Amino acid sequence: MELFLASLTQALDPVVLLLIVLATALGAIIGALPGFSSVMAISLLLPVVYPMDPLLGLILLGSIYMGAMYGDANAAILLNIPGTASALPTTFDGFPMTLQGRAYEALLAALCGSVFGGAFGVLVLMLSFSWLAKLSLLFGPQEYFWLTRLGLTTIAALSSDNVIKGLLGGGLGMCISLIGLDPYWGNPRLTFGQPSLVAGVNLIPALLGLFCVAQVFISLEDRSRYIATTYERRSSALKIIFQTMLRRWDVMLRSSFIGVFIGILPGAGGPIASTISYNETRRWDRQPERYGKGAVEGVFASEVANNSMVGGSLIPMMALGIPGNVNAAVILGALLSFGLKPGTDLMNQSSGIAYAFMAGLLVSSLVLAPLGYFVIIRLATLILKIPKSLLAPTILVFASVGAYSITNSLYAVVIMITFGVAGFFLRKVGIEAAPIGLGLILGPIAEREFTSSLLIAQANGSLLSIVWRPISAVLALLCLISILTPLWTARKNKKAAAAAASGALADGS
Amino acid sequence: MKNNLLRSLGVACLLVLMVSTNALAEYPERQITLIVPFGAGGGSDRVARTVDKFWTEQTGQSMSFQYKPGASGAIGTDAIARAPNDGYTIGIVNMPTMIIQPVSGAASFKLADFDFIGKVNSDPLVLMVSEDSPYQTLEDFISAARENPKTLTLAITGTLSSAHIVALKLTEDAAIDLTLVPTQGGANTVARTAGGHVSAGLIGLGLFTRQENGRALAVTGPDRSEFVPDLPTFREQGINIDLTASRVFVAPRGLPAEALDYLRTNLAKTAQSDAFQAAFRTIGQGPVWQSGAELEQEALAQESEISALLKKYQLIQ
Amino acid sequence: MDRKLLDVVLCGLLLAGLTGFLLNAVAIRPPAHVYPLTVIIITLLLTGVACIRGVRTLWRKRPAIPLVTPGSGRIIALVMVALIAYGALVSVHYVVVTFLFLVGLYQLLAEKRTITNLLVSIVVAAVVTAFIYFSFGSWLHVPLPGTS
Repeated sequence: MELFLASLTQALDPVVLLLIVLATALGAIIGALPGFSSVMAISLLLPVVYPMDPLLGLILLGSIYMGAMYGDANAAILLNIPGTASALPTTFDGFPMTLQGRAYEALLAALCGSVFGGAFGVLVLMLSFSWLAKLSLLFGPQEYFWLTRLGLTTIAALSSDNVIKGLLGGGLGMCISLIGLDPYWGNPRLTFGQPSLVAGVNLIPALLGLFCVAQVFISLEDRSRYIATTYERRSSALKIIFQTMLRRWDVMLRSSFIGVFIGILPGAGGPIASTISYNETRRWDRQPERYGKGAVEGVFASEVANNSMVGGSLIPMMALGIPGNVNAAVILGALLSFGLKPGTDLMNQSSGIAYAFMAGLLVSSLVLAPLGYFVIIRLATLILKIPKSLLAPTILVFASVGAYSITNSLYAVVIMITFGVAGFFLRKVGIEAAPIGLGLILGPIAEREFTSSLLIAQANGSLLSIVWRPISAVLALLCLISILTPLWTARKNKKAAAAAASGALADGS
Repeated sequence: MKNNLLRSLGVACLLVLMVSTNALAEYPERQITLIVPFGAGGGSDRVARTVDKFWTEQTGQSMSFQYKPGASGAIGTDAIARAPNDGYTIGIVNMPTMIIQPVSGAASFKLADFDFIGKVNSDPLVLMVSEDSPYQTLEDFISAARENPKTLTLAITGTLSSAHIVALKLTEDAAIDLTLVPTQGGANTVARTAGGHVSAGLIGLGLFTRQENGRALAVTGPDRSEFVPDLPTFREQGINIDLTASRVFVAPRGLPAEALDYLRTNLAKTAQSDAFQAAFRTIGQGPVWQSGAELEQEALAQESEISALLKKYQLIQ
Repeated sequence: MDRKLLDVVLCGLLLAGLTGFLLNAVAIRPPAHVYPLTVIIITLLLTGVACIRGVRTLWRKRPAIPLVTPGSGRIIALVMVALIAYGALVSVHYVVVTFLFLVGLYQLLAEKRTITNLLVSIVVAAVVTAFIYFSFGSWLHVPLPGTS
């Protein structure tokens, strides 16, 4: 505790504080721009950071990471463009809220959720990282596989009005993610003789196409001048958000725990955290049918989880030297360059540099609150004041350069445009972008873990081991429930509708 | 098209002018571009940045970095092969990845597309087991594998990667049959191995020494590593695996002799300085220096060995 | 085009594409074939069901549902064509093509084509192009097509 307080005062030093504010702001802005990513931002600052004091450098990188995980929510809510894959579930309810003129409320929810989740994640990191890190080792490929399945079952829940088309979209995404090198032999498959397809369909250009480009086409259908026809900034919105957070403390806590926990698992990452959190929030809600139509809890679920994931993903990195995701890996790289070795070393020696770093992260997550409220949200909502005639072409140009910059090749732009045009027509027949996106994101992880599980099961001589492990079994059961509940609800609703219709008929006659 | 033609005409005129006025201008006249076939902030980038720092001290000019990630480096390496061979575009690539990729058909470049400048580091691979694994030595592991063919699982980072080659070599030399489980990254391999989900894992020594999970049974390479002097090599235990993962500076084939000479000499001086070696050790990399000509021979030898191995295990036709 | 017809057409295309996938995936060597085959077959079955449903709806001759809101089809088609052209031409010179694309689309989508509007379009396009050129091209070291 003393160590903690000492490190906190260190983090509140004016110079350090100023740096944290600047880095968090930079992260948030970069996260909000479609096409820029947090990894880009962190890597770019590495050369700037190296000559710095190690602690300052680390705090700087951590703050950018924290800021970026919040920033991506803004584009997701206002434009239906997830800035990063983790913000995908934020679009589910965030964008409908914008269309209903509740953008301000949604943005505030994302901000409060991010601050809460971010601070929660860092606190968990500070209090218990060594034993939580050990927990992450309990998860084998079998459990990872079931986790991705659980993420995918969100599809069934999301498309309750047309489960077949929803599942079809998810399957399509997974099929597309099969293109490229197969993960066991390393041979090209499903490339139809195209050398450019050997590298596979890159995820980011595909997502930019499905969400960004297709969304631009959709928005042109409505000839109104702005994205949202109504937009009001009620002063009572903040109060309402706080009340919702208090009332739905269960959502806040559950999402935080899910975020931290998934963050701890190396390679699972933000998208799985936010989708599973969204799915669970919806499952435990009394009126699950509100989700996907502008339920503020949906925004909370996604944003709380993807920011509490930040602390979580740093746990195995700091305790075991195993980074949870790319961002954590880059921070680990910096750590090593400063001559700091993760593990027990990091906690004992170097004048508690680890604690000071975590205190810096905590401050960064708290700094987000005023930063978001007074700056980012105000800037972001300006988008709603820009006429669509200017906004739509600009978004297309940004998306193109974002796709291009992934591999610095025009091939990515071709992928983006193809997915954009195809996504538009598919959406017209009820195959939405979200299930395809989920399939694309989770498909490769699912395949890798499934293949690993299968190989291990064959080596052990028992195929049952894929399911028959304590954690696997629970996860598999949850998947089953997730799939069956929406089907059951759909049937019930249909019956109710039929009853209502016959009732109405009876009334009319 | 027309635009390009005009531009190249203009450039040609300029060149003629420059040559006539400044015939004695020496290479390099302008900044050299370094293509990194991976993302910014990754392992290759860290090595390249460190080299650049000392290269700048040595030559007085920094390199301009260009990242071309994708397809495990194949896209960027291909870009190096196709770059103009005027000495102003060079690249940093991974060995043996750049050898495996063309052999397995995952890339369109060939070894013959490159001039080799030099090797700056070498990261051996270690065979790692979890803390509570029953295997104390490499011998334990091999005899267990021999008694129960296919039941021991070995996690390798990526398919057709350096770890994969080492695994195949181990299988061949020890005459055992293992189930290979490819993972998506080094961190993942460590987690799988430390958690006991697989019997053992093959990871880079740099990665092994910077975390505290599990024990190592053996390390690849001709000699023991300075980072873990107590860890016996595979070779000492009768398995001849010399393969290490290394980072190599290359240029498109056919560089002007003067340019290649300049690059080789200066990189040699850079890589052999004490300050550079100390900096490399801090980032967990074993510094080595091997010059281009020698390196090319080594690469060609590895190429035939690897392609024979891959054919034997039917990974390529 | 009617949305119901598009549904059937797209389902048919998917069915053909997925069959192609399946035929190709059969060649994958075990044990890597289990997952791809399972995923492709399940998706194929779902597409089959969707197809049958689509045809049944088409059969019933319900009133046609327009593909897009009436009157917006032309604009969407034009933007699509412009975007494809942009992708094809951008390698000529990033800055020039991007600027022209932006000005063209701003004008296409503008409610009124006045001189003021044109000036605004040109200024905004210049600012956006310059921003991308400097942030990506210079700061992020992304070699933009046709500018090296």
